[in-house]
Amino acid sequence: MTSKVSRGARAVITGAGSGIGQAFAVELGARGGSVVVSDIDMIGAKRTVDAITDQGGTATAVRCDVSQLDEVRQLAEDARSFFGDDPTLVINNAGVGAGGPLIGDAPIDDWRWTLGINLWGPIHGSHVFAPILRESAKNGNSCGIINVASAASFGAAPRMAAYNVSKAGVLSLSETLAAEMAGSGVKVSVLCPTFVKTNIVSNGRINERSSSAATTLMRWTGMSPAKVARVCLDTHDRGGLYVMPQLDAKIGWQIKRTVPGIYTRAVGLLQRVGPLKDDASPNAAENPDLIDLDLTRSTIRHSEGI
Amino acid sequence: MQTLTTPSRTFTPRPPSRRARFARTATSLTLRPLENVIPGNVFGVLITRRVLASLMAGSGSTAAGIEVSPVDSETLRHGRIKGEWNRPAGARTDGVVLYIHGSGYNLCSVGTHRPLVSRVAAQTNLAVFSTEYRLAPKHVFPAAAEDVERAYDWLLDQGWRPDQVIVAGDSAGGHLTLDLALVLLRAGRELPAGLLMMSPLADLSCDLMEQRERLIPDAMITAAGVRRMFAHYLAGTDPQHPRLTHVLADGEVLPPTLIQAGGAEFLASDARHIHDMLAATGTEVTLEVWPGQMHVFQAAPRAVPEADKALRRATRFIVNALEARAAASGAITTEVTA
Repeated sequence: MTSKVSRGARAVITGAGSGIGQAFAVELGARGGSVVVSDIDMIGAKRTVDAITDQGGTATAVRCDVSQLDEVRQLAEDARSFFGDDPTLVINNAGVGAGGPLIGDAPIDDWRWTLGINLWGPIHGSHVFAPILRESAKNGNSCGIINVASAASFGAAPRMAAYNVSKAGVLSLSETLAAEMAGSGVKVSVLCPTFVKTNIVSNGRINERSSSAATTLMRWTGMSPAKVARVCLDTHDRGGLYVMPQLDAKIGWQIKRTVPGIYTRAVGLLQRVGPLKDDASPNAAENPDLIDLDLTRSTIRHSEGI
Repeated sequence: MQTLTTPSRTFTPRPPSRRARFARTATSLTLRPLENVIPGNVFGVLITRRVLASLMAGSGSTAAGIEVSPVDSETLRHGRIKGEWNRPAGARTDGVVLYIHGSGYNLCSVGTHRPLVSRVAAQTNLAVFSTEYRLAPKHVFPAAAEDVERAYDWLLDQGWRPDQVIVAGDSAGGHLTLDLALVLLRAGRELPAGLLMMSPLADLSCDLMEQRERLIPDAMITAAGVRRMFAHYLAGTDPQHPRLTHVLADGEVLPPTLIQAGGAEFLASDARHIHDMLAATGTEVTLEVWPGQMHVFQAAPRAVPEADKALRRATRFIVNALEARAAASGAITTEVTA
C-alpha cells in the first residue's frame, strides 16, 4: 500500500452526528475525503455534513440504527450510490454510555440496549462491510476499518458492566478481524480512548451521581474529539492495531496485561473508597460543554416540519 | 418573484481557491496569536481598533468613480446623524442602500469599511449611505441599535420611500440589519425592499460560535475573545434580550434577504440560524456559505478571488430586490428593464 487510507477516503462513519464520530467526519473531510455521515440523530448528522461542505468537502447524511442489521445493509447500499463506488474506510463509532448501578441492580433492558448499539453495531458493521472492503482492496484501493472501543474494554471499571462487556467485545472483534484481514490490504484499528469531551454521558443511561462524576472527570482529563480523531487516523495510516491516544489508557493497558489480578483487586478497592461511594451532592458538576444546544435544533425542526 | 429576487444563477459551493487557503493559514498564524497578547479590557479594544484599521486599510482602496462625502449633522428630529455617502457618478435615482458596518460592537468605522462600501456603490450604481453608530465600551446597549434606527428614519426624511431602500450590513451590522427590520415590522411600518447580511451575528451569548469552533476553529478569533468584547456592549444585559437574540413569531415575514457567510468562519452557524429562522416564518431568504472562506471575506478582494465573486452576487441581489419591489408596487420603472 502506497497511499494512506485517511487521504481522499470514501468513508462511512456511524454515530457521526456528534462527538468522536463527528470529529472523524470533519477530519476526513479536511483530508480530502467524501463522507457518509450516519446517525439516528439527523439534525446532528446534518450539522456534521455542513461542517464538511463548509470546508469544501463532500458529505451526505444517512439515518441508520446500527443495532438493526437491515439498516446497516441499507447504509452500505446508500454509501455505494453516494460514492458511485465501494467505500474505502468504515468507522464503527456509534455508541452509548451506560452505568451507575451494580450488576444485578441494573435493569436487564439496559444491558440489551447497550449491547445492541455498542456491540451489535460494530458486529453488523464488520459483517456487512468486511467483504465489501476486501473486494475494494483487491481493486487496488487503500482500505481500512476502525472500530471505536474504549479503555473500558480492558479496564473493567465497576458499575459499568454493560458498557465494559460491549467494549471488550469490540476489542476482541477488532483483534480477530485484524488477524483475518492479514494480507488482504485492509487495515484494522481499534480506538481505546479514556475520557473524551463528548455528550456520551449526558445522552446515556447513567445515574445522576455517576454521571456527575464522569462529567467532572471528562472536564479535567478529557481530550478533544478532534485530537483523538487525528491521532487515530494517523496511527491507522501507519497500520497500528491498538490506538490509545491518551497516557492513562496506555498505563492502564500495561498494568492490566502485566498484573491482571492485582489490577482487579486495586480497582475493587478504589470503588469501595473512591468518589462514587461519597454522598456528595449529585448535581455538583454541570458541564456546559456536554449539553447540546437547542437554539438551532428547534428552528431546523420547525423549518423541516419534523 | 422568486426568480427575480434570488440571484440569477444558483449558488454552487466550490472548494476554496489556493489563495483563500493560504489567506486562512496566514491569518491563523499571524492574527489569532494577537488575541492572547491584547488584553480584553478597554485598552485592548483601543489597540485592536488600531490594528484592524491598519489591516483593513491595506485590504483595498475606495473604488474608482465613487464620490465620498461625509455627513455629520445635528438634526432636530433625529439627533446627530453621522456617516458618509458613497455616490457613483450618474447613480440611479430609484434606490438607495443603507450600509451598517461590522464592529463586534466595539471596533471599526465607516472609514475601515469604505473600500467595501464603495465597491457596493460601484457595482450597484446606487448611492450608499454608510452610517456610523456609537460603539462600546463607551456606549452600551441599545445605543448602536438606536443609532441605526435614527439613521434609517433620517434617510426616509431625505425623500426616499421604504420600498426604495436596501439595508445591508456585515457581522454585527448584519445583526443590526435584522434588528432594524424587526423594529419596523413590529411597529407596523412599511418594510425596506431587501436585506443583505454578510457573515451576520445572531447569538450574542456566543454559544453557537463556541459550538461551531469545536468543529472548525476560526482563523482570527475565538468565541472566548468575542464574548469578552461583547461584554463591553452588553454591560450586564442578558444576551437573551429580545432585541439581542431575535426570535421571529409565526407570520412575521421580512423582505427578501440574502445571507452570505464564510465556511471557515466563527459566524457560519449564526448565519445558518438566521436563515433557518427566516425561512421557517416564510421570508424569501437565500443562504450562501462559501466553502473555506473567512469572516466578511467579501472585503478582501486583494487576498482572495472569491471576494469579488461573492460581492457581485450580493450586489446583483440588491438590484434585483429593488426592481422586484418596484414592479410589485407598480411604481414607474423607466430605465430599468431586465
